[in-house]
Amino acid sequence: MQMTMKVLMLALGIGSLASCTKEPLKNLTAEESRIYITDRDSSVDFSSFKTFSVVDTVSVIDNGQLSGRELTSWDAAILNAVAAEMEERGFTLVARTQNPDLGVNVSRIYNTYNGVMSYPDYWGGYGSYYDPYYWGYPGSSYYFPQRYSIYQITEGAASIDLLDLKEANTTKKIRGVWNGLIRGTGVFNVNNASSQVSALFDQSPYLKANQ
Amino acid sequence: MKATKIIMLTLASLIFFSASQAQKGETKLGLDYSLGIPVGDFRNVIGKESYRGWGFDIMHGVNNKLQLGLAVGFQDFYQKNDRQVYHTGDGQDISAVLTHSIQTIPVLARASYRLTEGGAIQPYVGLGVGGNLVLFRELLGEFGETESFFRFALKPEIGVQVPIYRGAGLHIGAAYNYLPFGKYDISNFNNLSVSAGVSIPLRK
Repeated sequence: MQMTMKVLMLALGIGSLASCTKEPLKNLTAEESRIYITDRDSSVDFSSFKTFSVVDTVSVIDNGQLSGRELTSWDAAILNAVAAEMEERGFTLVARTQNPDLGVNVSRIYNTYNGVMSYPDYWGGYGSYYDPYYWGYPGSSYYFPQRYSIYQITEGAASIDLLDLKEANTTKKIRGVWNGLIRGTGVFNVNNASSQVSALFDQSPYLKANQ
Repeated sequence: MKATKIIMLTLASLIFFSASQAQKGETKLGLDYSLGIPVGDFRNVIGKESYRGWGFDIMHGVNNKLQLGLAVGFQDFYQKNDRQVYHTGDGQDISAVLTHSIQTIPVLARASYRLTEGGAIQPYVGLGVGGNLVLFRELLGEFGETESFFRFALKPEIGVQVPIYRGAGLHIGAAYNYLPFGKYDISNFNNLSVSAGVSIPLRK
């Protein structure tokens, strides 16, 4: 009996190891979970651009394929926010037909991952599952003929591209000169649209029409 | 006055129970709570102390001063840094909340040497040698994965033990955990640990 108590104490101690880790993801707010990545073409002097135009819809890219163009409330908010940030930095918004120096593309990118889940693994055994008594069958046990389930996780990101349209006439190529990418929880929450665009522009002080 | 009497009685009982304290042939289970304090290069990664640590050991008395055995431990280090912009390459910047989560799990062969054979408070020195399982996680926002490494471990320690009753006792100690790493520009996860715990005799 005494030995059993000692072994029980040891087991409790070992069990407590797993529970005393501070789990990083549980200690992040949605805002803290997001990352803002910017990538510029270092050879480009952004003060050489004066005018810009923004697309009127947002491209939806699903697992690497364009699935359509949309204008949801989030899409409208992000397009407006990008235009406002560009104007604040001295660029002039013009219509697409007025030969803008820069074009702005905005995309929603979704990547879906598949996984397989085994029910016994998921529940960790049936110890904490509903007792069959709940269904009026005390003494019965559970049985799952289909022991595996497929689940899907879709991760979304927002992407903003600045395109050099000035040299496109001569080179016949539209060169991307800046990209901003937003990933994390709450990216497509309309209330976050403006602050997310500001975060991208704040970390890109070189984006100015007049240096 | 009453408090003084209680203290005197407690000290007297400790001395009484420890008078015949002998550990030769005795096997003890130790359970510790430990506080971890990063030092040196590790402090550049995690500057905060860890209050989430445990240790277990099973020690056998070779004679009345020397104990040999095995020790297993656990310490969870964690630090979340405020959002900051990190330059990651030519023209590339990432704004993120950077989090480090590091768990060290030492598995050590341990020797402990009691400097006195009797007395209410018995100082000891110890040395653990073995390996450390290190679970390393660096998160940018919510993105990152856990990697595991196995590294050498050396743990010199000092402390005092207080016998309580029939071989059971309390102890407090301090140790230096030498833990070389050598990855991601981090040379080591060296840390100081302060621990307190109990030891219980398993058999004699």
